[in-house]
Amino acid sequence: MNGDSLTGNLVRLVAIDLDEDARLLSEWDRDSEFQRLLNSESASRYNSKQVREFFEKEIDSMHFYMIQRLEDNRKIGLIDLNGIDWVSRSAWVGIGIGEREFWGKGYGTDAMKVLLRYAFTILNLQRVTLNVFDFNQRGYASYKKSGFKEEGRLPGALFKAGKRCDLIFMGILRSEWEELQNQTQ
Amino acid sequence: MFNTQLFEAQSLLLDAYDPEKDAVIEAGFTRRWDYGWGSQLDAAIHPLSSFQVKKKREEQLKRSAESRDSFLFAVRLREDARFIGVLELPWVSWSNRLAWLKVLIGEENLETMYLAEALTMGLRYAFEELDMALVASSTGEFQPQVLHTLLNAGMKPYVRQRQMVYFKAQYWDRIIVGISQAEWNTHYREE
Repeated sequence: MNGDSLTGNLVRLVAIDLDEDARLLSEWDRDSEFQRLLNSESASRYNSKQVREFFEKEIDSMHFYMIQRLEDNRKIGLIDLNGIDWVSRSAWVGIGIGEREFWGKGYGTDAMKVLLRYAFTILNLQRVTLNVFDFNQRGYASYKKSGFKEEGRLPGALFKAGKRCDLIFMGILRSEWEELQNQTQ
Repeated sequence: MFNTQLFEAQSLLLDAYDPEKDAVIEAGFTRRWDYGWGSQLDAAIHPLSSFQVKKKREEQLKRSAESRDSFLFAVRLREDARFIGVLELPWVSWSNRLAWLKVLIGEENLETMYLAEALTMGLRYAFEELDMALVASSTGEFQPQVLHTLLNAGMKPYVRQRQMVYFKAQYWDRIIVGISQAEWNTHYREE
């Protein structure tokens, strides 16, 4: 196995730098489409001090990483494992690419592959879950590519941009992830 | 003007949770593993002391009062006001008009008798008082009687999260069910 399990083909996952990254995360939130793709709750604005305070409070309960491009070390997005249930060995994942110029170029898929490897081989999880909204077709395709399967959807659960949309649930089991690794080797 | 009482039904009352008195009884309920799993009072299922339950419920009530995005009620028998469980809306998303609903009855025989009535009270509160567009709930496939009650209440199974729950030596699916306000109106609302 590669010595650095948090590095993929395009990106590496790095721990958050509370000073520098709080400012970056606050800037990304200016793009309301980014927020609508990332959060089920209504979009809002938070300054870097608020973002920093959030992380100071929550960081111990989540595995939060910035997505950094290997090519130029630029931080372009975020990914986190949260809601870890150590009894059922399951967790939820959230991911967003904050820099629009890097949307649809495989960075999110690569970051997800890295995170799944970490979740299954380091944290010994047996399942990873995520939510995606029905209008996020790019995200949905990326998650399928990473091995997630759709497990159902709550119809009209969310209100985004004046319309109701479905909340989709996806999951990947460790056995499915291992099978994927065998296929790609 | 209003024909329906939100907090009174045929056999049950929805009442304020009393951390001093109710926590003592609820602590006893946590000895039942199904209750402990459903209540999520702690990350791992274990019997809680009345002190622990009181502390957790007080924190929950405080959060609820501050943020108004969750609700906690005591479920009591109407005939003698006996505390038999809790009804929670652990997350109300106002911008989406989406709420999660959880009903926990402490004793199995009382669950059989009153879960359906309590569930209807929760749905009525969510739709007719909070104006939710969708109410969702979940259960593990190891609780077929709970799932049966949820479906009987008009909720539809929308999501099956495979092997999401480890309980009693094996993995089980978690099933998420939901009902829209339009469906509620069709099935329940009094003319």
